[in-house]
Order: sequence, then C-alpha cells, then structure tokens
Amino acid sequence: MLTTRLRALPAPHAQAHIQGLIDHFFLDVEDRIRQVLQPHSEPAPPDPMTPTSPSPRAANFYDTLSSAPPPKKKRGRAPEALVSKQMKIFREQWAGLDVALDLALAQGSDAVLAAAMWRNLLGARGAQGLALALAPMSPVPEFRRAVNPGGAMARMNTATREREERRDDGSGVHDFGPEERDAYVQFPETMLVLTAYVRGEIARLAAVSDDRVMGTGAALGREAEGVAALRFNKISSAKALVGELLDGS
Amino acid sequence: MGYGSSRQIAARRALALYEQLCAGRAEEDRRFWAEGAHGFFAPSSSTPYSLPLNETGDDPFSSGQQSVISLQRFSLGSM
Repeated sequence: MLTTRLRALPAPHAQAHIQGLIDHFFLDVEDRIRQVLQPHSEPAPPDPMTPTSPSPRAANFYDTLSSAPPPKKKRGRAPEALVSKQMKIFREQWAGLDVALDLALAQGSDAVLAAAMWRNLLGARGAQGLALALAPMSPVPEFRRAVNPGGAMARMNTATREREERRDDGSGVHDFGPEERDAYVQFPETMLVLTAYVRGEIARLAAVSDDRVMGTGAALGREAEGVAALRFNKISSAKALVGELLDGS
Repeated sequence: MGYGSSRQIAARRALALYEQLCAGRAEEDRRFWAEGAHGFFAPSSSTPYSLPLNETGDDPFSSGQQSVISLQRFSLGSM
C-alpha cells in the first residue's frame, strides 16, 4: 500500500523512495531470518562489553522467541544456504503480492483484490477443493498445500509438483483437513475485511500531499518528521466500511 | 559525500517510513491475524450459524487486551 503511494511521487523521488523502502524491508527480513535460524549454544556469563539488542521489536516479533528465556550466550550463525533460500522465497512472495495488488487496483476489481489476499495472506488454502470428509480408504487426512507456481516450481513437471504439494515444508501453511473444515467459513469474511481495509488505506494515503510523504528534505536528523501522521490505521478501522458494503448489498 | 542527493534523502526518509509505518504493523493487529475477522460480523437470525465473540464476550477488535486466544471455531453440523 505504501509502495502504491510512493509510486505517485514525482520523478525521480518515486523510484528512489520505493528502492529505499525495499532495501530496508529486505534488510529487516534477513535480520529476522537469521534471528530465527540461529542455532542455540551453551549458556555463558554475560559480557558487559556486548551491547544489548539494537532491535527489541524484532525480538518480540515471533511468539516462540518472545516466550523463550533470553539466551545467555551469543548464538551461533545461521546457515547461509538456509538464509539464502528463505530470502529467495520471500523475494518471490513479495514480488507476487506486489504485482497481484497492483493488478487488482489497476482493474478496480475487489474480487481480484480479495483473491490476492487469499493467495498471499491465507496461504491459498483449498486451492484444489475443500477436504470435507476423510477419503474412504484413508484413516488420516491427506496432507496438501498450495505451492507457489513461480520460481523453481515453474520448471517442475506435473508429477513433481504434485509430490511437492503433498510434502510438508514445515511452514505450517497447508490445507485444512476435514476436522478443521469449519475454518474455511472465515475466509470470505477475512477477504472482505482485508479488501475493505486496503481500499480504505489506499484512499487515505492518496489524499496525503507529496510534501507530507517526502518530509522535510535534506535536513539530516529530521527524516522522521511527519511520519507518525501517516501511520496505518488498525484493521478494525475497516469495520465501518464493511458495514456500509453489507448495508448496500 | 552524496548525503544531499535525492537518492540518499529518499533512502533516509524510506527508513523512517519503514520503521514507523511497516516494521511493527503485524504486531499491532496480531489479534486479527490470530482470530480472524468474525468479530466484524454480528450474529444474525438470518444466518444458519452464530459467530461467537472472543472468550470474554468482548469485541476482539476494540478490546485493549493483549493476550492472544486460540482461533475459535463454530460447527457447521453435517455437510
């Protein structure tokens, strides 16, 4: 959403702001990946010369990290191959979501926007139909997940792709089984709320002047001035908009 | 040094935008991501099922409560 607004800035500010935002985003993504993948090590006494974490926000991002006791010794380095693999996955996901949102806004289609929400934020669960009951010969639910058709998947043949769809990648994002089928009922509601929210926030940002988006310019140390006024509303702000949509239907 | 170039100025502004607008955004709405959107829709006699509020009976999106409860489900009966 922010990228959409930045794109409307006059050249060359638009490209420079978007590039800056992407750079900072992926630096943060890499930082968070390394934090999650760092192997644990034996406790050691605290080193008074070691500075505390510069980013308490990042430490609280994941529940598992928040609830775990703080490590007493600096953890090992995350495996570079895993970091690179995850970065590529996130790059594909970011590009896919960006294009999908742009397409939806360009077409002015709420249905396309809702579909983008389903694919990217709801894991495209149920893409090949909903498993409402156990298969006659299967005592356990069949595992199935949607795979991203881009990147390496695009070069796979049908059999390989089907095998990949039945492999648990450990992400926790997969189709709901028959015992969880009720969860699908929330999907249309969630897509409606998120579509209304995105529409509302895009309109809000569009009404903000270029000067307020770009700030005070060259003054060092004043880059954050006026940013607080641009803060995104909470998703609950879409409640009124959803109500209007439902009343009008 | 290039600190006054439009590209550098934009990069510094983008950092402020990312830090204050984007980085903590998922945390701010963690109740929504944990519980879904059913708090937006009041129970209606015209629907065949009822949509519960959270465990305390509060609207999960206007409450200041920080803890995250598990996703609530409601039965569809036989399908």
